[in-house]
Amino acid sequence: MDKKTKGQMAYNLLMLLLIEKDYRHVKRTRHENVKIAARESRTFDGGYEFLEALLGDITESIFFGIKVSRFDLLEDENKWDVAYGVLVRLMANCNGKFCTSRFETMRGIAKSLYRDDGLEFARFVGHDFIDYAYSNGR
Amino acid sequence: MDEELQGRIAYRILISLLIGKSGRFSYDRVKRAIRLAEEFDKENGREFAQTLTYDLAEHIY
Repeated sequence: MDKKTKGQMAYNLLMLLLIEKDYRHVKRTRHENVKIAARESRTFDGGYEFLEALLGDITESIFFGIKVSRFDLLEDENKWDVAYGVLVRLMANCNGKFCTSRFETMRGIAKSLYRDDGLEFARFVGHDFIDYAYSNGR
Repeated sequence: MDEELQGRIAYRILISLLIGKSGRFSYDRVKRAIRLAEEFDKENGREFAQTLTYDLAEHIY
């Protein structure tokens, strides 16, 4: 799976994990998740531009319905890595430990959206989170 | 009072009122603000509302 595919899947999943949905009506943000994503985004190169796009897409999605994704318009190639990296770190809870329920939610959405590719993607996320967690002394 | 300054102050107060005590989106109030903006000015209301919601997100997160 190449980084562009992983990044696009990660971004689509991020949007779903950051916004409460009943599959027809977008309701509101999942506040704590957005706060974590915002904090983690800022730690990446190109993270501020990414965060601007993410927040823009979130508000558009909640209040107006997205016509053109700001993420799609970003020209920085690093955006794929940032999207994937932020998703991986979102799997950490406040104590820096693996957040099983959040991961299961992500895996469930990935599976329903992308079938086998989604399951493969979730495996990558799981491995990369463990790698991230232990290489950062958590 | 200068109209631009008046607008700036009003905009800041509006943002504070829409975020509320919880520090989150007050969804119903934001939706109402969007509707009012669009009613107030059909041409520019939507653009104003989009900027407003984006600024709200920036403030919160």
